[in-house]
Amino acid sequence: MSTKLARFAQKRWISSTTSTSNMYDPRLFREPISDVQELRKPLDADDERNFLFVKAMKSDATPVFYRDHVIDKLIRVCTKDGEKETSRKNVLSALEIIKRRQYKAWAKATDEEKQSIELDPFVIARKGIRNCHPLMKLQGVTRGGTTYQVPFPIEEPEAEFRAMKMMRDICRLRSKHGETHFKDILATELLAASQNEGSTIQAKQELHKTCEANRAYAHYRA
Amino acid sequence: MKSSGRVIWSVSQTVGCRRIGIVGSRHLSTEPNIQKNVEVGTLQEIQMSVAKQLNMKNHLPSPMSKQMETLGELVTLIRDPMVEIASCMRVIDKKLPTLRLVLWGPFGTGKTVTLNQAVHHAYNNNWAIVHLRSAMELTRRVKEIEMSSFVSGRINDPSNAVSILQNFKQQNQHIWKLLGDLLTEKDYEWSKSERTMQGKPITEIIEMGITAPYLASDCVGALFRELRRHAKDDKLKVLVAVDDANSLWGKTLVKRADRTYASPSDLTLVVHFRRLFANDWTNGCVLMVADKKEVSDARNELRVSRYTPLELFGEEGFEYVEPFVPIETTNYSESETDKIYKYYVNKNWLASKAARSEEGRKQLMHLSAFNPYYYERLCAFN
Repeated sequence: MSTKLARFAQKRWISSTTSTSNMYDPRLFREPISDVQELRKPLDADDERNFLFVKAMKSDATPVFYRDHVIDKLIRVCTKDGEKETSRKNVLSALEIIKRRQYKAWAKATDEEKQSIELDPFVIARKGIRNCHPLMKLQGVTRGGTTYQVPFPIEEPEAEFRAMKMMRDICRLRSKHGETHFKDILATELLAASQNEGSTIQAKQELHKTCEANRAYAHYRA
Repeated sequence: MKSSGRVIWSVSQTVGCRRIGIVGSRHLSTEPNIQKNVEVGTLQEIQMSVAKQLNMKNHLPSPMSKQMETLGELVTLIRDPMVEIASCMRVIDKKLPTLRLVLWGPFGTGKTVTLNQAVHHAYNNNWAIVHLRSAMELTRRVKEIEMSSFVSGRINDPSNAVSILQNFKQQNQHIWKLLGDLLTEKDYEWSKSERTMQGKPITEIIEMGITAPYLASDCVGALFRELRRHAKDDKLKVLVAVDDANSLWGKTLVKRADRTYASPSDLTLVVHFRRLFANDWTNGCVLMVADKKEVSDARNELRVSRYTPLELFGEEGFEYVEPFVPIETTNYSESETDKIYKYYVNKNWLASKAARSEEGRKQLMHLSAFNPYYYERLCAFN
């Protein structure tokens, strides 16, 4: 009972809005430097950090050697209920599963084939996500009481986000009810996507098709 | 009791002097004869056929057995505790009461792996092996219960008893012929129709237990009894290796007819294992692991339980296993991490370039805080 209460109190149960105020006054605080190499260099003379406060480093920005933009973002996208630690465990275990599969294939392969097998799970994950980037997005636009699904162009970061979101939704759908685990499916998806296969790639192509079909609505963009 | 304790203590002290410092050379020793003198700091390969016989896949911690499956080989680092165990095992003979060793240490420092290395060492020296994966299985993971017909009030556990016997049979295939030559001391009357006569090979007891699960718990007791007797007669040496041994004095989840929890001393298998721990027999080595998972509660964030033998065994258990030789497992030293790191690089297991760099090597060391478990976890995805 008490744990239930604690959970109730911990999460943003009632409020679903994002916080509007920050503990850091934007006039006084600047972003920290989390790269070790950068940190060793002296600050520029005109850098504001010379005379202003610096924010504390975020817990997911620690300067470890395996820091990777795509993986960090994937962890954030896969987070549910603010449980980032769980999500990190899932994503990193997915990387481990990828590496084990590739290593087994590598160990079996002949010398020429070994060259073509990628062992680094980070490279595979990056490539997989890159292959899933959609070129357009669909957004509802209401004109004359009807909502049209209008294709819009998107920027690189958003394409990356949408790729991850598509993948995450597919993995979540399949990992329901505890028969299979999120990490296993994510590993399979990432591996497949790195070879331009799998459900996420299909979903991307589906999206492209719909965008193509709704081309006529493009003039509703405004 | 006290005098025998002093004998053991003096033995452990003379044995303890034989500790060797970390040897700089790094070579893979695959030959079983090299086993006879286990050397600190070497990477020792356990052949897959042997690992299969010793059922390492089930007995090792899950990340390690996964690693064994992936790399297609089982390589472990010989560390100080293993050397200490090996030198303790060397002094055992029929005049000395059983030597009781307790492995203890923080989480992830290699208690179970050392236990498995010791089992492998016993295999190489043709000892009989009684290996229990976790004593917790006897107290907390009891699937079916039966009331004992031998002692009233005792609770039998057929499924665990059968798996103990099967495991014993599998792990002792190297001396199966020898075990077939050892004969029973007396008539065992298991039930009205089933009996084992005096002068039959003790392997018959095992076969009997495996084929008739309702007799298995009693067969385990008889087998242990015969093993102790034959060890006393110097027919063979016995290694008893029990993981999480402090659970034999812990909580149980077995319910009696009146819906109260049974105490561990009501469980037949627990009693049989405790009897093995008693040092009233000779020519054997009892290796126990004191593990925190018996007392720690993952959901209790405020209490941090200790991992020292006295706290884990409790007073009753401690009294029972005293005197023993405590062997502490510790975190890696820098040279030990280097050995593991080099092994991983040679096997091409560290896939990313960053991990293979000098910076990566240092960070792996410090991010895992030299803890072997976390070190392996970090290497797993890099």
